[in-house]
Amino acid sequence: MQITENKRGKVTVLELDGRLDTGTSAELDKRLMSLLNSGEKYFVLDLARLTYVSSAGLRVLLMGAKKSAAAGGRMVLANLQDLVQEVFDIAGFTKIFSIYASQDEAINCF
Amino acid sequence: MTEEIVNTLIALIKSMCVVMVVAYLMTRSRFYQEILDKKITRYNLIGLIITCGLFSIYGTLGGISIAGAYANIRDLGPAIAGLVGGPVAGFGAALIGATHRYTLGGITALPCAVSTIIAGLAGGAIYKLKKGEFIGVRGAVLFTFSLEVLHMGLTLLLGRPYDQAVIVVKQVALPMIFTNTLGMAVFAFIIVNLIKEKTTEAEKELIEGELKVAREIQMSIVPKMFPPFPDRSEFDIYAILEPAKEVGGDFYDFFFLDDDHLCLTIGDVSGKGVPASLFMAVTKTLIKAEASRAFEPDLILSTVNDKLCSDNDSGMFVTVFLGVLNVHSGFFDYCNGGHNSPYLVRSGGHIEPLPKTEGIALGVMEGIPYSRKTIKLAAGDTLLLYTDGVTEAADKEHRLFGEGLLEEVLRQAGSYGPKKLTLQLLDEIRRFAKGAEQSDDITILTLKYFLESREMSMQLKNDLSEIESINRHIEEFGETNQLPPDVIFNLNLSLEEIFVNIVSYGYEDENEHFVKISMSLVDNELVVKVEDDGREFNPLELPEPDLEQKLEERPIGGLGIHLVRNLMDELDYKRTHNKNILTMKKKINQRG
Repeated sequence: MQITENKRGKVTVLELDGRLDTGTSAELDKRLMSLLNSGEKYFVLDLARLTYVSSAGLRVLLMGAKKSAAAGGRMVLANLQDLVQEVFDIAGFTKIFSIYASQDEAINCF
Repeated sequence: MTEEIVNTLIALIKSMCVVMVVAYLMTRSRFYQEILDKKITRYNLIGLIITCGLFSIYGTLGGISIAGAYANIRDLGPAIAGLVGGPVAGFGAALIGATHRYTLGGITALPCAVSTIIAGLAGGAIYKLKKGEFIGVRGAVLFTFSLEVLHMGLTLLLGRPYDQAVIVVKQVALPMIFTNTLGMAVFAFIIVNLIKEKTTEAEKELIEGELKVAREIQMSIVPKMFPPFPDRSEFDIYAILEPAKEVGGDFYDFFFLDDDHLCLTIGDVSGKGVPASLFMAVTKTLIKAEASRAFEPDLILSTVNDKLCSDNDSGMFVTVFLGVLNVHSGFFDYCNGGHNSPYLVRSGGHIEPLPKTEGIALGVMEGIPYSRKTIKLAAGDTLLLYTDGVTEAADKEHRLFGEGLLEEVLRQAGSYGPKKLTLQLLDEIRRFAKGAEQSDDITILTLKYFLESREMSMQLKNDLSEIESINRHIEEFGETNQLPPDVIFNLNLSLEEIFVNIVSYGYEDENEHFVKISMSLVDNELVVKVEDDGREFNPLELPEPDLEQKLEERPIGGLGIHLVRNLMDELDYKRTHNKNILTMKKKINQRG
């Protein structure tokens, strides 16, 4: 999985490309932890090119969201593909995450 | 005197015409048919007696008076009754005729009456001697001749006054003998004709019965059990042979040459009838025998051709198409011996007839060169083999179904399974023909290829890195079975979750363990089985996560099985022989 990092104002935008599964979630976890440790707390995760997510990925996202919130910030998501959206629905994540239809919208919520 | 004789003759010949009419009507009557069939009852005997008795009376009345005597055919009736119905019938008819004659009186009253009685009884005696078989024309004629000679003799013997009797005999002897004999000949001829007709009818029924059996044998030679290979999921096959009214010469066959190679063949013998079906049986048998020796279609057809030619006196020939499919690779080698090119319908919808190969119909000449060609079938491709009974099916105006309509059907139904496609095509042909008689066998053999097994299994080490392998297998399985993308996604997800659970929590040791995952697609339902030898663990017993909790309260774990539960239709857990077996099912709604 590829992670493309961009800073737009105070928001860190992470574009994920590929699969977020047991094998690749550790990578995202490491990146998020490192960013949180350097003080970032506003995150937009653009999932336009994320084709797959499993519970391992959900765990990392949940952890990241909790930690951002605990730090006084927020993590929101944008551009979920249909199949990924369905997984989020089943997991009940659509209730606890803000999900936007575009990166710009997501950024504007901050 | 000559004039008298001539007149007498003429009159008697006129009577002959009456004889013919009576003979014809009598032999066509129901009671006579029964007697001929040897079904003798009281009623038909009475019918015979009355008819022949009346005929005898007619003979008397229609006779010509010559010097006080009547030249007539009175004796015929009873004679015939006796010959065809036995002594009782003969006597009965004779009684009627004789009594009537006697009551008329005259010089010859007694001899005539006696003669008539003798005619009936003698006829009956012959019947008995012949055990009910009709004596035949010659015998009947001889009998009648003798009878009339006897009659004349009796007249001389019993007629009073003697000298008058002599005159009578002199006058009527010749005409009497001649006309009665002729009359009997006519009657006998008509009877014999009738017998011959019945025999021919019986023989015809026998032959038709045999043809029916021949047809049944022909039908039983071609494989008719579908699906023929239920355990092979690399392909689906269906075939029909709709026979024309007459026994025909179409055939088809399919059989495995070995585990990987499936042979398909179809053929059409020139001509119809029993010879064509016999030739078909020989050809089909030769093909099967040769195919077990060589896999190359051109070699098979070449050898079969030579063999057919060497014993072929009939001048018949047979068009044959034969192909060998490697069910694993999809490569299809084929050779065409003068037969209609089968159609290939690609999964994308493209329709094309297979390119022809070198070779002509089999059985024409030895040594004809045959060559082969190869094509590759991809998943979802369909092969349709057929005989010209399809393209040459005609409607009442003699318009032909043709390749045009056939291709049209393939365009519409090309994506169907083989059975549905075949039956659809047959239905279209029948609809086109609109009740016109089917003149040729209609034979269709359809094969649809699915490339890989509709089953798959993998053995994985208990290591998370194996997830990549699971992924790859699923993608492949999904592609060749045209599974929709969401199903592939769910499959990947479910197996990842289950596998991760097993690897993470199933084992307490550091040893290598194997996890077996198998998948099969049956009737649009996907069945996935995961088997591991870890500690007893039923994932279905895990508590459902509380989805109402807020972000801060949501625990990190517990989502995996929840996802699987929701993505799969059915889950089942079993613990047997120290193994955990989890079975998951999902219905596929449409192919991707």
